[in-house]
Amino acid sequence: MMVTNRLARLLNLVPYLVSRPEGVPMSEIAADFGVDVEQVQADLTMLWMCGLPGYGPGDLIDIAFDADAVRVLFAAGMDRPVRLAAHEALALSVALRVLADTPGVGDRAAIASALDKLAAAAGEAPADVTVRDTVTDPTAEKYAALVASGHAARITYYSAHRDTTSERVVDPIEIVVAEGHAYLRAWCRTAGEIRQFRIDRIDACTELDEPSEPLRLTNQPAPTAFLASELPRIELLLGAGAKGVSDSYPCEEVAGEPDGRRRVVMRVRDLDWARRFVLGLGGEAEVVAPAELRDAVRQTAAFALARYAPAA
Amino acid sequence: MSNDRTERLVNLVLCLLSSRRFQTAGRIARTVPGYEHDSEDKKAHEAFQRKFERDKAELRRIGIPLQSGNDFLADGEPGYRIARSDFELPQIEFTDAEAAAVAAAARLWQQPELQSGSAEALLKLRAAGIDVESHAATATVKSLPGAEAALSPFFEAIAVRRAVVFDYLGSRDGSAQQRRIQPWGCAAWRGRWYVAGLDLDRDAQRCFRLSRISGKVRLTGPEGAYAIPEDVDVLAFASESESRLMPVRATVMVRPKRAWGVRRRADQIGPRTAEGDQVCFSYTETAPTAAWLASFGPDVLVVDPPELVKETVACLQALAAEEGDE
Repeated sequence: MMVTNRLARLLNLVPYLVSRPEGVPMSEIAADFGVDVEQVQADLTMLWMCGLPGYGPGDLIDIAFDADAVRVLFAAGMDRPVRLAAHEALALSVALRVLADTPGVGDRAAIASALDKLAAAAGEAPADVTVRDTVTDPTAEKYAALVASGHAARITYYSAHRDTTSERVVDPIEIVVAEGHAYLRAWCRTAGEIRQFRIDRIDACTELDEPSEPLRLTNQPAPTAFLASELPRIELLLGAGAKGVSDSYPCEEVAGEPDGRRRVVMRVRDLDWARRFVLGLGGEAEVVAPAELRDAVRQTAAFALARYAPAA
Repeated sequence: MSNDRTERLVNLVLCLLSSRRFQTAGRIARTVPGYEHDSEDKKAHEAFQRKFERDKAELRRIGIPLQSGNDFLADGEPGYRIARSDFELPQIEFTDAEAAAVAAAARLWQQPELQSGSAEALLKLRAAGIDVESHAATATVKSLPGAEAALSPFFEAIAVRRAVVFDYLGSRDGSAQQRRIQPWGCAAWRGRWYVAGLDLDRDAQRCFRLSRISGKVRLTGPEGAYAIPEDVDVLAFASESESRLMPVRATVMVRPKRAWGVRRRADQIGPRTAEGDQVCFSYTETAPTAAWLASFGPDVLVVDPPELVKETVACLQALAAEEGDE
């Protein structure tokens, strides 16, 4: 997960130990730097051979290992980590600004003061990046409070792909914000799996007295895990306007085509869902398989067109 | 990176930090292990110079500020040093709440370069003695601004004032067109990322939605190619570029007890006619609205305005007759 550079790690390792004079267990160093213990050993061994010009016994970095902890005895002048590079400060500060602008993310004062301190530590002023109205839905705060309450809830939800409204009991997990919309991620007791509910499509919500137990997941395997292979498989060719599909939906296969389109294979709940899904892509998706879905899409579109025929 | 090179670079940093004087390349070659060579041998010396250039570039890349200048003893030959005050992370302390915010922020990015940028920053903070991760409360909200893939090239270009080239699908374009701009700044508005700048081909200020960029954003031309005008307000550009899309009223006919999605969005339903219930709602962008209406198939008949009817029919034709035009 953490893609870091070895040189940067070595330059951090010495001040890391300097700032923890009581010593740090090897396993903790490994965890903090996101590498394994063998790598920490190799890093420490290399640092041992580095030092100040002269490179005699008193010039080299000196590190003491014992059974439980690693300590630095001589840091060769590397007591502090390197200043944040511009791109590092930017990545963190922009993320903090997004958090500061997201409803329900707790302590805004702390986010603001952390931003100020980071800017001071970055050396140069980070590029100006403004973040505003990350979530347009004003009720997102209410659902953040629901998640924080730790209670289950009964919701009335409009499903766009089914074009129906239904009532269900859910165990909230978290709020996820993406592309301007806020979603309630929850265990859906009706579906028996984790679902994301777009908050502006929740028509009613009642907090229940019972606790939210999304962890019921761990007690029983998620049905989708073993059913996935039995769900209908569809294959689509996506044009420029529909390529986002492969980012937003889990796909089993994604491949580029010579004509610039994208070939994706995905599992769907059922073919009627898939029909509505493909229709909603506005002709930017061509159904390769199954033929049944291709025919259903064409037929629905042909029926709809027939209604315009007198005018056309 | 090879072990030898990593070791050489650590020694180079320690050497340049250890003295306030500028050290010439020749002196560095004689001092730092890994650079030894016969400076009389032209080939060996050139190899050293290339190696030293690459090493300097690597140090700059990870944020180590190398100063170059002349040492009064070195007879005009340029030398190098690292000023401790520029090199070291200043003293920084976080409260538990601030550390938790920083930890949550570092986990926000999906895009690899921004992810590793935050990860590297966290390591440095940790090396300064801050236990960032241990304060990481489980946040109830995860925020994922969309389409961030193009962000880091823009950040990089803006930092060094370089122009960029990318393919862009404007709201009125049928296919992506190449655009060349001098970017000024980025903003996230309503969960979408925007970049504003000078469009070099149109010689005019323009604002672009990052999610409409297809393919890679490439930096082009020299650094320092332009100055960013003062008081650029990217957010104002972004909201203005979207507000040119004035809301339009649509009228559609919806079959009884069908197309609940359209009914939910309606501000007026009825009267009922032979064609279905008359439903009115407002929209701003024709293409996505038409695609959405087409998804209801024969349950929805678009009546007004004419461009929405035309676009919906075009979607349906594409969907009905794939074979014909492929």
